[in-house]
Amino acid sequence: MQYIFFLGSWYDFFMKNTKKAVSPKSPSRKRAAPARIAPAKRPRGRPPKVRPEEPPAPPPAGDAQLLETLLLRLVSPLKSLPVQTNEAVFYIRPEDIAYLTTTEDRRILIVDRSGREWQRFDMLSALEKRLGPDPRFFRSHKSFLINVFAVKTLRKNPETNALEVTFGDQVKGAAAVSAGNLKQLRALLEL
Amino acid sequence: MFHANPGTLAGALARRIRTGFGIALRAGPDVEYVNTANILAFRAKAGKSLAVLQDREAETVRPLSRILQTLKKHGGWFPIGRGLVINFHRLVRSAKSPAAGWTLTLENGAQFTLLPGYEKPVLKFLAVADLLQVSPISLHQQYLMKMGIKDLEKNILFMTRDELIAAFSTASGSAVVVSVLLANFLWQQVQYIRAGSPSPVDGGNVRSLWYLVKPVLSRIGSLDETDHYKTLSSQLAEMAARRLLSYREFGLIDDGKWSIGAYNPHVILMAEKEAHYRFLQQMQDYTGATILATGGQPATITSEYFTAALLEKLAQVSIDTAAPPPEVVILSLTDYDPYGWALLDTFAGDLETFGLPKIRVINLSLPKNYRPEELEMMHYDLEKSGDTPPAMLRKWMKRTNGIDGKPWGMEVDVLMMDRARVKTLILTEGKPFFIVPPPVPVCFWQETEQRRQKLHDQARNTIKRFRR
Repeated sequence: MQYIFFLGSWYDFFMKNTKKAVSPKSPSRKRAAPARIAPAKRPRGRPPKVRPEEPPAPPPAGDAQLLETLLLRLVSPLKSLPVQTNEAVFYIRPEDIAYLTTTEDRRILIVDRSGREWQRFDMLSALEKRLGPDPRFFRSHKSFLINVFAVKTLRKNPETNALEVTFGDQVKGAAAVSAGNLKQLRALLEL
Repeated sequence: MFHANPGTLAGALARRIRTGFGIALRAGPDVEYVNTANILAFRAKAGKSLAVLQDREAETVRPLSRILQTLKKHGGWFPIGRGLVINFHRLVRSAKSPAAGWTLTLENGAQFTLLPGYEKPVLKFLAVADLLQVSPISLHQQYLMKMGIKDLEKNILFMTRDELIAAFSTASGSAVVVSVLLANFLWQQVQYIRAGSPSPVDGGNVRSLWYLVKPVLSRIGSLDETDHYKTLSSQLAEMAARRLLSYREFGLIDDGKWSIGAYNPHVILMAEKEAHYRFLQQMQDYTGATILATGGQPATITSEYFTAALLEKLAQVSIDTAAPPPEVVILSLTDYDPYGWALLDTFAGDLETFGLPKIRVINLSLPKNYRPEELEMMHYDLEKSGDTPPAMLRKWMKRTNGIDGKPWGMEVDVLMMDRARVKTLILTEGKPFFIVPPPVPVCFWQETEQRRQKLHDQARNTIKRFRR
């Protein structure tokens, strides 16, 4: 116990002193090192390297965020999703996917924005994990992973009275939305 | 998020909104600037560098080595052969090349061949382990690929000769592989049925399928001396055994001799010869067991239909008795020789393939169940008869030790000469497995026979009356 306290106090002491030395503008300690050893006298030997110019100030956070949102609408930051057919492998860009769902024979049905259907032998949870870094994908239901940017309508099915989203005339079928996920989906759709 | 992979992002954006670098191309005396997003590939030819566009090729002003340095900034441009670089952001499909390597298809349908040795950076860029197979892959999909099933849009039955040759010929393009064509035909037909079309051979048999595809083979000149009906039949059996399709989906009729027992369906009395089916019917009346006469090697269609019916009955028994389905036992009456044993193994294997759980096999045709004089006088020498391949005989001898260590076989008909003895054998061996002990109350075959006899008598009396 005493040993831990001793180490802890040493750590605090070390950090305080280090923080003083590091410039607050420097992003890392590696870059900050030359600032600490600024020569007080005339340097001997090789002249010190000229520090590169400071990078231009980043745009305001709001603009950067807007730019990123706009870029995300255009392209996905993820790589294409390969799907198997009998003869070949097809590569589907994540932004071209409308929704993913499970089939009766435990496969994943991938429907793209132009209505083409593909099948993949996988688990929806695994694909959710893979496509997770792209904010356009949202698990609207235990059996559906939807592309929020491809959604055209959010409605109640007139026959079953269940909530669902559709993806335009080219895409057959609709993706179910469970009641528990509705609030989050509405927020994503800015409703 | 984007900053993690700026190269990929730049390439993806270039593809999407046609941002990219301008590349100077020679257009006669002028220079034309084309965006890299509109260029599919760059190739070096006769010391010149050419840009491959959607509809044409044009010489670049700068050499390929300089252009490559620019393209590196975008990422996604990789060499696929000597002096050939393509834009992988526009890749939509990869497939096996008829020669060596892989055929890559870009968004506009342009095809390029990726040569072996150039695939490493491509695999890394696409984040895949293989350009032909997505991981994970189902066993079902693997079987389809192994059988050479293709992604065809046109119905094979209506394909022209040239289309058939283009789709099913070998790499050299000389001959059509008939077995692959037939497998594709079967797969295509079953896909149409699954999509809701009626089966074109409903109520027919495998011959009906053959008559359907025969004109296609005639069109490509493959109706030679080879019996392709057998090829079709074996391809269908293989696809059914691998559960890619089923005979039931085609609506084919099975003329196999079998009947599911009402009281002890899990006990299967199996005979190799159809001539013994009458005896089996009598045994079914007595024991309530399931009966089947294979008539030689059991047909896959029979195994499929038989297993489906048996599984249904076992589920019903399980519900009625509120207990798990009983263990399935086969009491077999096959010849005591290598072929008889192979037949039994095939049948048991088929049942397991079509979904029956573990099966116990009890062979009744064993030397211990024959009398010594029968073994002495009625055996036949398997070595001298020469019907059995030596390896098969050796294997069987290792398993059974023949008759007293000699390579002798026994026809099951010898045992069947004494039906009372066979009946006793069935009752003794089956006793631990019967749920309802024999004799069972309702004798189906006997009643059917009596009903038939009665109808026959009535008809005869009516005819007599009319004659009077």
